[in-house]
Amino acid sequence: MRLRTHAAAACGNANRESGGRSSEKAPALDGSTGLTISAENVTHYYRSPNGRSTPALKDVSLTVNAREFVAIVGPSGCGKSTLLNILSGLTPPSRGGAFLDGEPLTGVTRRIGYMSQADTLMPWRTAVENVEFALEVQGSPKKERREIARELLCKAGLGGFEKSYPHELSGGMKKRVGILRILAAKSEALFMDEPFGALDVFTKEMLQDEILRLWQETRKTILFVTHDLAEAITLSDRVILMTARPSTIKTEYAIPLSRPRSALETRFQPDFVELQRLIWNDLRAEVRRAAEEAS
Amino acid sequence: MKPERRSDAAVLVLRIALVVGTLAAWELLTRLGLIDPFFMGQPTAILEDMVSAFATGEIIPHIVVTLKEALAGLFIGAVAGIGLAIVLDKAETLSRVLDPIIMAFYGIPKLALGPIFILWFGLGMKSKIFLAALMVFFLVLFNAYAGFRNVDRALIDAARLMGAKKGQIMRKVVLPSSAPWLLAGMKAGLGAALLGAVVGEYIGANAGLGWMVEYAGGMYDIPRVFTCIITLMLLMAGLNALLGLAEKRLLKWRPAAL
Ligand SMILES: Nc1ncnc2c1ncn2[C@@H]1O[C@H](COP(=O)(O)OP(=O)(O)O)[C@@H](O)[C@H]1O
Ligand SMILES: [Mg+2]
Repeated sequence: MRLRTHAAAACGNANRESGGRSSEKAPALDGSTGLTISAENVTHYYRSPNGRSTPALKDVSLTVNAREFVAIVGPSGCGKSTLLNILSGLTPPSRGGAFLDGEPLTGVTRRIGYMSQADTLMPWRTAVENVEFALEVQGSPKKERREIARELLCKAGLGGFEKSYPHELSGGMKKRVGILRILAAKSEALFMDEPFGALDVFTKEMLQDEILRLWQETRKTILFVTHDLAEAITLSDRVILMTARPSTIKTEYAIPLSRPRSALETRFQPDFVELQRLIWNDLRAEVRRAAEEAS
Repeated sequence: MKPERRSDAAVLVLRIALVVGTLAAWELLTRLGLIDPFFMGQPTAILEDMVSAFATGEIIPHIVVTLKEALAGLFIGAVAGIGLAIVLDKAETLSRVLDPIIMAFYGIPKLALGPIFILWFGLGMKSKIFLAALMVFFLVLFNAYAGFRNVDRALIDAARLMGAKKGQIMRKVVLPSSAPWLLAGMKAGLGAALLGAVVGEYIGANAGLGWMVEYAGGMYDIPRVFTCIITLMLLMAGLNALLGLAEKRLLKWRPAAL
């Protein structure tokens, strides 16, 4: 149940074999810079074949600082996924621009690992083959990438499922493999779009703890979209609240809860409850507006 | 009230009994003089001919010719079909331009082109290979195109985000993702290729099982006709089994059908 932790007993083998590499884990900790991601006046329309255009984002500007953990919440359908697609270089915005460390973003980049909302494990690849995909397309030799992928899986407690196909894994396991897959790519920032939306509460809490630990150990810049306000507060340094469509940033809340955090304990702190009440009042108005617009 | 469901073994026994019974009745009726073996053949005579055709090795070169034609046609038709499907998938305008034209060509009864192909490419294997390839081409084209259209856009995006280039996306996402469609095309194509080869031989050739059928038919050698037909049946079953094995291997990632 660890994404990137100290030697779990079952992984003894993999650890010994690759002692050299595991000591150079967490590249961001040893003084590398981390990635700053920003959007400037991003506006986006979707054009349907019949010529109608749907405004999704309107004048969105935001900066995610290097090593910061930012959560985005907003009513469903407001444009959160669209924003991540734009910031990852997948979708060029209708107007405005995205920047990485101040440089304009012109297309997809390996500097960002993006776990999208859809289930995108390749069904014809086993768990280990999925995890090594990024290394494979970058031309890393088979033996080397296989070993890296195995070690990641093993440390995440999936040692026995290397050769399983996605349809043979539980929902929580699939999410873990999805996270490992972007970790294997050693990108500097991680985007996650509602990763735990469909999971049961226990699995969800376990995975939240793993994400907290992941961030603690690697300090990668993380942009995390969720419709679960408690999850946003639990995980992040800053919660960005988006309005109903066409979406803009409504309010930003700093989350000054102490770290390292645990998903369960954080939830019972008085500060947490207070923050939740505050942001929820704000969010509720937007959810209502979105619902009214839809009807 | 529903009758009890028979076990698989019982069904197998009944199946064998049916086949053996039919053959026995056929044999018996011929022996009693109720059907004329000159027109209808006779199981024992067919068996005798079959054994001799294989024992003397007389039939082997013809099997080889037909197999070569069918497999070459399958290969060429499949490669061309997949190739055009890739192009059409990439070039939307071209696919819109070509769509009705392709459909019109598809509508031609392709076997009727046999005589023209023989005129163009001669009595040898080439004309049969072209006929077989043409039969396969459309089947694979339609299946492959549908397969490519059905590739999950999100999977392609995920691969791009992990740094995959265009060629890698083709090889590592689009092709494996449409493998079930491609295999379905190949399966249908296999029968079509054999049909194309045999009919081509029948129309005009100097070797092959189709030619043998035509020749034996002309000589009123009914057992020989049956020998060829049974051999074709066995060939088809064998090739199908091979393709089934390949399918099992290539699609082992799919959840077992319920
Ligand atoms: N590819 C698309 N084409 C047309 N409209 C889209 C497309 N993707 C999203 N939309 C629309 O844009 C809006 C924002 O979508 P999305 O970014 O997925 O919202 P969220 O992730 O916040 O739920 C929605 O109204 C959605 O219907
Ligand atoms: Mg979304």
